[in-house]
Amino acid sequence: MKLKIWQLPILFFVLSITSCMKFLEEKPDAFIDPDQFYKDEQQANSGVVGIYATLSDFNAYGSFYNMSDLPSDLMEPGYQGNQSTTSMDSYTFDSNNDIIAAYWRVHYMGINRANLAINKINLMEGNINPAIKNQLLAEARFLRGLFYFNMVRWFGKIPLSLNYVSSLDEVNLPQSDAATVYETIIGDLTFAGEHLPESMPAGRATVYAAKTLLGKVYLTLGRWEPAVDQLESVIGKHSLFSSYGDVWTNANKNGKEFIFCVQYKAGIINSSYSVNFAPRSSGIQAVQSYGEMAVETGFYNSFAGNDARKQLIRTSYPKYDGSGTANFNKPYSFKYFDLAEGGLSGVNYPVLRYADVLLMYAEAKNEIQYGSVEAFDAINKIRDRANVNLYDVQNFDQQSFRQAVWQERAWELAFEGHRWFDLVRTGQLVQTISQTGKQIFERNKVFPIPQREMDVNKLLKQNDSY
Amino acid sequence: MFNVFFSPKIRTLAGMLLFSCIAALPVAAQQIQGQVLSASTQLPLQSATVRIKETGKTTLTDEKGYFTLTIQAATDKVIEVSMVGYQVFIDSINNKKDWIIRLSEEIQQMADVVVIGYGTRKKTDLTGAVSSVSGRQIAETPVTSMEQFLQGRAAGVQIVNASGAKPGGDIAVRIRGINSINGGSNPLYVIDGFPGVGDLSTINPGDIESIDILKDASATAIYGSRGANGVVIITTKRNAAKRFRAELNSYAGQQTASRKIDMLDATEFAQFVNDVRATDGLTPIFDNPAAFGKGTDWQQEIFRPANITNHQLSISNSNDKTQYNLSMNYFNQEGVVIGSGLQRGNLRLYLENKATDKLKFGVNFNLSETFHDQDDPGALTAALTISPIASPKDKYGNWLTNNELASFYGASFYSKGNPVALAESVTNQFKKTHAISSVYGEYEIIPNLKFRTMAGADISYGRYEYYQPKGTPGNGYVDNLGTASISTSRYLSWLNENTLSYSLQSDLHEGDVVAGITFQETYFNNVSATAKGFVDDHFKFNNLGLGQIQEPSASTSDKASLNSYFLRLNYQYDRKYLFTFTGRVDGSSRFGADNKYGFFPSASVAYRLSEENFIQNIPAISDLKLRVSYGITGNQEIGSYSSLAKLNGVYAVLGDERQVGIVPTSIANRNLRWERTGQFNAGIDAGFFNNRVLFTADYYYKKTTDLLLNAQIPYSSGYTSAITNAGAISNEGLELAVNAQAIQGKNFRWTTNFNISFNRNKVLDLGENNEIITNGYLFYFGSYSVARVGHPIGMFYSYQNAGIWQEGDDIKNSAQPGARPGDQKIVDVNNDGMINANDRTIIGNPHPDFIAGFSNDFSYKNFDLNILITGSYGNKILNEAYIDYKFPNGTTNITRDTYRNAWTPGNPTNTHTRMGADIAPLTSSMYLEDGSFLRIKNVTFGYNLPAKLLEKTKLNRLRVYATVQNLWTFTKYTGYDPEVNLFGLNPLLLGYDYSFYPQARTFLMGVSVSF
Repeated sequence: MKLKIWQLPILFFVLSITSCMKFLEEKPDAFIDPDQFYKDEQQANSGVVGIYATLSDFNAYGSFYNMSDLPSDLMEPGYQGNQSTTSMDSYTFDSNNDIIAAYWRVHYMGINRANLAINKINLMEGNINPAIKNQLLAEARFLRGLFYFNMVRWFGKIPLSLNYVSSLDEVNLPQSDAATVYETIIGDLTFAGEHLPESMPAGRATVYAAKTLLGKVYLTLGRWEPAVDQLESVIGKHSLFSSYGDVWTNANKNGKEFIFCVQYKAGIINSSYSVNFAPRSSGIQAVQSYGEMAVETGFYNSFAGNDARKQLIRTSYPKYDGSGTANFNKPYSFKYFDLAEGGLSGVNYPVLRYADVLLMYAEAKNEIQYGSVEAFDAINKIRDRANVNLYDVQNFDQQSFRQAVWQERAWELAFEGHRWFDLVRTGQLVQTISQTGKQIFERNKVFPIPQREMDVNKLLKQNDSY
Repeated sequence: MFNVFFSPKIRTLAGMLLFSCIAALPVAAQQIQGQVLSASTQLPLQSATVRIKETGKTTLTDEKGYFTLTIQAATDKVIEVSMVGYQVFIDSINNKKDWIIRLSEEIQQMADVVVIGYGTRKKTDLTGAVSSVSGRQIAETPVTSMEQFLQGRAAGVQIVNASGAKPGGDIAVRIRGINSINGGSNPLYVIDGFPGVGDLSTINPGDIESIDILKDASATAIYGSRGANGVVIITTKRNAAKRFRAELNSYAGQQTASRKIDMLDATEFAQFVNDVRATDGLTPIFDNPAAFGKGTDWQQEIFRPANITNHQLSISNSNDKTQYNLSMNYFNQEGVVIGSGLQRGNLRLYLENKATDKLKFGVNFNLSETFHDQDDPGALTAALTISPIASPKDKYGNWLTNNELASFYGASFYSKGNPVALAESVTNQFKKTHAISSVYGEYEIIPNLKFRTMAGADISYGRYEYYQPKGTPGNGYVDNLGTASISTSRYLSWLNENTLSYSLQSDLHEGDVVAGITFQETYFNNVSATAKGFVDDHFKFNNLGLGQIQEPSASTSDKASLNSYFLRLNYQYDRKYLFTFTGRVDGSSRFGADNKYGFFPSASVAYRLSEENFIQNIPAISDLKLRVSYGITGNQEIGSYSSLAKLNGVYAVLGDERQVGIVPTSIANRNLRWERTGQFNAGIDAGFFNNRVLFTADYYYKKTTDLLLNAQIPYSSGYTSAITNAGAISNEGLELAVNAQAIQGKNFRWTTNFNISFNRNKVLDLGENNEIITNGYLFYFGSYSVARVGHPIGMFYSYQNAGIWQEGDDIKNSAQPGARPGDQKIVDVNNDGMINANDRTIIGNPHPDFIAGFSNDFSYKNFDLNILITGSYGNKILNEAYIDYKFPNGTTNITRDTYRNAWTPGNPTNTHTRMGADIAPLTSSMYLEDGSFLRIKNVTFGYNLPAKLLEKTKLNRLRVYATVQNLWTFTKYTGYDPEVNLFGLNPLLLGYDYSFYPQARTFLMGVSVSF
């Protein structure tokens, strides 16, 4: 049959309708479908790398002082412009504080990344070396344990998500009580401690990182014997630098004393610790310093005069351009100092350090029984390096030694993200903060659940008195 | 042929000679002669019909508008001159021999043809709500953008300034309010039949013949999926004159910042810093403030008188077979802030050829090249906060660095960068090549049945280039190492549309139907790279590999497709009752696998009362029509792949090297579907006094449901938000437009256009939550807006100020026990005895009560004057200046008002806080300002050279004109410009200001010549 010209458009219409559903299919090129991934070892590894990538986020460990040293007796804001920060220091924050919400958000982002990796790697069979599989699982569970450990200490009852969230029906979770969360953490870290190797590329978790962290978890829970067990297996595996100043040099980055550090590298992932800890616009860096964090004068004055650790807190410093010395109106910590030229800085952030292991060990041993030689040896290693007098078992009892270890932790580990947790763990928070003249309440032993989270997830209950 | 310009003497002589011949004849024949001109343009009118009423004797005017006619004085008494598009001229001859006849244009609006989706329609036959702005209305005033073309001239259309008044900045059009929260509220743009053109900044406004704005569902539903925010149809210039025309239009002028903020000078600043220290009991830091004199006026340093020029040449011709229009344009606008500006070159061709009686082809081609020099966004903020004691350069001519700038006030001063260095030495530019082209063919299969197919592409290639030289004091904490970036993008949208149309006509019935099928596919690819640390500034962004630090390059890929089927039926009975039905089925790739397709129907009916005898008996009423419509339209403007779960890359440093991690970034929503807007519209069109006065009123109610909402989901899921369908929002409004030819004298004419629009927005539902609170903060200081059920979207949500704490007030027992006299007093909204985030409340409305435009055209003989006034009433603006240049803590410069009226024990004001290093910025209603304004947007004064003078030349027309834009603004607002929207198009954050780019006042002189 000869096609008439007027039939052409009709034919065209009919033909065009047929292939339409395919026309509307979406096949993204720049992203990938979760179901298409975790097919081999390299993919599994990249999933785990993604969890590590969470750590350097500004609201994970990028500004960890905001949730640890600032709400303590060690630090105060370097200037008064930033309401969110000043309220963390003055305990005037409420559930609308954006720093608290950001920490909540980023930690759960890391947890979801870990959950995806754990779920998916668990299902991998045949396309991955079993040893690698367990190592990757152990890393993912170490990191999930770390995130949950921070979260449960900050917020108490929290939603406990152990599975990758893939659909909108799964997003609302109720809170679990702290004990349940701790069970998960212990399970994750125990697994990590069994499957992680002794040595890993810098920044990846080792067996010692897992055991140190698990020791810390047990210490937090007051389970002294298991804490000692974990910590003892680390003792001797790492060691202290000979001088306190050496801990903070670029040459010793990832050196023998560091057990687990958040990794930065200038120009790749810049650390903001150096600009945030240097006095604002003081001219001491090759950059306009930000000056977020200053040292509280009371803490500065608590050091013995010759304490090596005090040398890393300064009230003046030579200007970068050689035009003289900048004098500060407050003391500032120089642990993280570098010139940060053009904002480039590769200063790491120590999450777990051997000095912490020694002090935790001393504390746990003392709790089991006063007079442990190992406890005094441990703390004296720290004090010896700091050029301060050594402690003698004759001069203490269990209570005063306990206090001494706690105080040593403040001096040794200041600005490294321990103080608020230590104050809460040891029951000193309210008393210590009150002594600095701030108004603080019992409720402040945990932070408020972010209001935004309360608004979105109706299953949540706010912490008491917030 | 007689020439009217012969001297009277010769004419008299000739007349006498003629008379002496004619006198001998029995019947007195005589000749009349004259020229026919357009009353508005003073141009000669060719082919006008000159007719003697009694005898029907007829002649046509020649190309210069001249005519001669022999008449019989005894019988021929009345002359009629007529021409399509003009009012008929009738006069008694009364022995008058020489005529200059000026024809007034017909009051066009009613006779006009309106361009609607997939067709055109006579305005009288419209059943929907459509506003039209024709090129004729604005041809006499220069405009720099398509949006400026529309501003103040169409009811229901709001122009939103999304990036300040900078050249080439984002300007958005809002039609009948905000429908969507995350789906975008931009209308669909259709240029010469090509829907979905993304970027309009490359369109030359001088090419625009008309813009038709489809507002109600009856008009927009034919564009179904993309019609919910209204449709803007742009038609470019043609030539229907059937003769060769060449036009040259040039203007040039200068722009200046229309307003400066009144800041402290150096002496006052030094005194202010001393005063702040004194409040803390500190000694003065500056011993002799007067020694600093005036210091640096930083605004002066970064503002400049900026040039603007435009040249346009167009040639066109048409005959029965072929029509073309070719135009070229060059536009160059410097910005009033140094380092900003826009250059644009355009080439456009329209060509149509009738191959046979049944078949025609055509092409629309628009090519443009833009060069957009962008100002550094930090420069203005830096200029307003920096110490006036400092200067841009040191004595050796080097830029002052951040640390040096900070030294002009103690350690806590934080420099936001050297404004002049930022503006002058930073290269920040965007180049774009953009082509919109389409070809079409139309074939008449049988009489009245036409098939039309169109294929086209919207293609652009963009390149962004950035270089911040070494040592530039930047606006972060970084003094730069030399940073170079390049980003290039390719955008391609291809389209194929096929329609069949059929029309039928009888005495009583008239109808047409159009059906179509379309395919459209859009691709976007982008690649960007950044490197830092260059040996020398010479290389800029031209040799990125030389950077010491190579940042990871990035690339994206995006694709979306649309497939649609549509049908429209028009039917009218006896020219009285008009019906329109449309339906469109749209499929979009962006939605969930189960919900790709949506159906969007509409129906409307109009009743032309003026066809009824009882109305025709009222002489004053020349036209009267009632319209009602209802329909559903959709919105799909979300990103591609929004319904899918996605993994994307992040990176970490592990083992001292960069490693890539693949992580979940979004959650799946297979049910994602179309946002739907149901709209009811009722309107009236009326003409009075032979349509000299036209009146249009429309009432509408729009309800948008299944909002494409970027819903917040619990952070504990690992995600922040997901695009879902939840919630509803409504817009209800009234639009009035009046067009009157108030005075139509022979010499003096006055036409006025007035329109006013009222829109009331209301959030009806937000899914599981009652409200969405959005932080419009800059630098942590919370200033919030809320979308709350029962209120308009984007209400300001912060503390309610109750004045200032005064000495003697019982502060200790108040809800703010820590406050000092001079601090803000905040209302304890929930009465719990403390002020915290729970005391935030709705403090103001960013939406205007109404917006209006008022345009007046006057002409007297050859002079013409256009005045356009635009205004907005009742909207509030939150000027975030209170976090820095109105924040008297001594770390930034501040305004004179903030300093001089600051609270002190001796000045117990309730409107300004105290000074002090310890004060904290606190967002409250105190900083909310009235954003109402009345602006004399445009004044153009023109003069057409008389035809007499052009006679000896080839010129048809020569007009010179002078224009002032933004002549004056009446407003109480204290920022640069009340037409401000810091967060651009984000409907959740409306009416914010933070040192936004100022409006320019522009003086232009121009000439247009046509041959």
